[in-house]
Amino acid sequence: MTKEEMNNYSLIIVEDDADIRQRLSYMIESHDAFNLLAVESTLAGGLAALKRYKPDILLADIGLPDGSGIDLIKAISRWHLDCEAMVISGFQDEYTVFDALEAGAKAYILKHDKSSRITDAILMMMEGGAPISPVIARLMLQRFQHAQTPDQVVPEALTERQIKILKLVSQGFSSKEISEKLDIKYYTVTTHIKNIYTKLQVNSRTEALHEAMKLGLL
Amino acid sequence: MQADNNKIKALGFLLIYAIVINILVFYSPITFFSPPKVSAINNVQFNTGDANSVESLDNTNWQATSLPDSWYKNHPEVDQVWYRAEVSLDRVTDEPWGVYLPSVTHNAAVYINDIWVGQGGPFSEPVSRHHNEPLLFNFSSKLLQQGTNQIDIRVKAAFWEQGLLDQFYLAPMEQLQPAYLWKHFIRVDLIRWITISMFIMSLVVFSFWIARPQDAIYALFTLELIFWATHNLNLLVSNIPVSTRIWEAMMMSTLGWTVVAMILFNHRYVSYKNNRLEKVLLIFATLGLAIFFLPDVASVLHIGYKIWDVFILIFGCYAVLFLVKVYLQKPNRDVYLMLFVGVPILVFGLHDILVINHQIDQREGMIMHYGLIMAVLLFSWFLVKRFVQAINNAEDLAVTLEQRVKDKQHALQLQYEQVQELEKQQLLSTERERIMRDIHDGIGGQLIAIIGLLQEKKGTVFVKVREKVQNSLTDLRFVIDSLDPVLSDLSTLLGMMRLRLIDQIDAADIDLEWAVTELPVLENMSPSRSLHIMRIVQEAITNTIKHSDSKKMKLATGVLEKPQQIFIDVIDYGNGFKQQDLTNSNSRGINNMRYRAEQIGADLIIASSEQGTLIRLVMAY
Repeated sequence: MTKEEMNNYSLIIVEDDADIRQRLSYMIESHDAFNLLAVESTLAGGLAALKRYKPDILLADIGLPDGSGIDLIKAISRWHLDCEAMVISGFQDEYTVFDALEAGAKAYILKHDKSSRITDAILMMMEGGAPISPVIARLMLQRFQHAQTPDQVVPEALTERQIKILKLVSQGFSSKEISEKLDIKYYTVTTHIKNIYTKLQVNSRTEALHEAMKLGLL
Repeated sequence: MQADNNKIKALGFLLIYAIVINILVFYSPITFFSPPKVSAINNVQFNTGDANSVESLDNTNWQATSLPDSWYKNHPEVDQVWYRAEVSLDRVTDEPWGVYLPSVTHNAAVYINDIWVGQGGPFSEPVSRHHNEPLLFNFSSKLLQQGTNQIDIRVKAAFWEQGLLDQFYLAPMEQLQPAYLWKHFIRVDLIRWITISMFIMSLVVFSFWIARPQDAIYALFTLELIFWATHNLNLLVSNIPVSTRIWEAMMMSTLGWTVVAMILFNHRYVSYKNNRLEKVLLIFATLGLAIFFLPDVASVLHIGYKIWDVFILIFGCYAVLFLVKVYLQKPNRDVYLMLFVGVPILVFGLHDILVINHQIDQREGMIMHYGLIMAVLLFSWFLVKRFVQAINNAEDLAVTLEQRVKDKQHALQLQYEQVQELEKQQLLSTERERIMRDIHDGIGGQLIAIIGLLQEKKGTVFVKVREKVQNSLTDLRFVIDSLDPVLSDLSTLLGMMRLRLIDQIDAADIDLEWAVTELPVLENMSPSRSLHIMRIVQEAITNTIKHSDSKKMKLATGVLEKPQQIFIDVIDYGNGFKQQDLTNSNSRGINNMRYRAEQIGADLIIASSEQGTLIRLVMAY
């Protein structure tokens, strides 16, 4: 199989830690499925690269020296780019991941994970998969529950099925186990999770608008 | 319909009651004041001279008449009349004798055989008033003689139209006294006590008003009592301190004010508002005070009796009809009772107006004040009830308020605790982040780097070191997880543990069956409890990996009903171990688990057989 015949995804990396940057770059470059377009270490550099290369995939760290990786993720939807954002998460970083998911990220990788697991995760995302952890599922449930108070504008509430799935995730079940438990396809479970991510993002944007209006900014 | 029927019945009964009262008042079949059991003296001569002693009488002027004698028709325009009777006595006993005048208006002096034996009071203006009070004069029997005796009675009226002398009695005191005392008791003593009670009651009600000035009804009733009690003085005071004109004017206006105050009272008692009508009534009563400025007794009495009293009667009728209307709208026991006492007052009042206008025998006297006894009792009861109710309401309110304050305090306390909890969580979360950051940058990163370095190395030592480093990293993660507020949810905590341990389990090639369920929130969940639970579960899993030789294990949770407990089971399907191993001090892992279970007040159950081993952690929730 030639490189062209494989699913070939263009990709940029924004990471300030030199060791990690090096490791990730190596990992991506040596993988046939990916085409690494740029490696940046700052928010400004990242934004410029995003605009210039319009990659299929953005791998972004959150804590950058000149700002937050969240702004990079937000730029994707602002510029209407066809790009999937993925957060490079550190050691035990669920809350940061959650913030990134709210901003529109579709998945996350753990920077110290095995190489194979990281590339698998990226490919899984591109094939419609959605990684999630029990803590993130729990935070998600809390977020939607909290958003259903009367003074909040919630255009997107969770369906009962989605709540059920989040509960099972939070109890430690894998997507495969959930699909067996609920007697649905594995792919359906991951689609649900992706949809939940989208709802989360929509709600957080609506909330931001709402807040802005309340403050008289709009 | 039933309610309507009851209303009609109640009002029907009231109508019968009113008719009965009318009959009793106007066609009374009973004589209330029975006369003494001696023959009355009613054939007399009269002399209209203005002499002030027997000696100065013009003896040529005597005319015959019979008693009772009301002057307004027999001898108008004079205010003094002398009466003379000649009584023949067969026998004069030694005991004290007396002359009993059951009814005289206003003052009388009695002479026996030209000797003065007594008089009601002064004859000069203001004339002493005894129109309500029977008079009894006693004297020594020595003044009498066997055969004919002459009795002279000087009678003076404050105003000629009122003058009256009823038939009188000459007899030993003993025979006269019962009739006199009875009539005196009913006419004077009883009314005196009632009047005194009314003054006292007015003070009591006034004090209610001082205590509750917003409740005008107390002030109104105070005024009503004072006006009426003052009006009653006309029946009690013989020697008035002011002129007859002023006195009569005062009696007229106090009657008017009493009725007006009563109507205002009624309105308020049933919470009825009619400001215009009340204004008219107040203007009327105020204008009525002009009666004080009339020039003489004649005009006071004429205007008072003919105009003023008619209006008062109309007001009285209004008061009764008003209560009937209220009752029809909303049947109510209090209103019915008010009607019950109101009807007699109206009938008695009508009687009195007829009496003073000479339409009814003047000797019957005034009776309206008797109707008021019931009214005063009833209204006093109402007001005491109302006052007590107000106090009760206030107390209830105070209790409610206290409860509300308590509730609020409780809510505040809760809120405060919530805020504290939030702050604690915030602090924990900050702390967790700091620790996480530390670990991430420091020890965690280094451990991960070491693992990275050892990743590619072969050899048992390297594998062992890598394993140890991996375990240390997992331990670190547990410590951090224990600080995570989201992980106070036990099933999520177990879910995260699965994530942390999956590599180890996979590496041992063990198939893990996951059977975690939703679990209730544990009380007293804290980082240290979380950590103990994680360590126990971790130990159980590690034991399985190390010792069971099993390729299959299960982690399950569940809820027990009685007592309310939850359990976490770690089951391996391995070899099991012998019971004596448990007591062996060498099985450090199990002792460790027991110690931790004890620390968090949980039970640890270990059951082992050839089919495998169950480790169950049981906690109350």
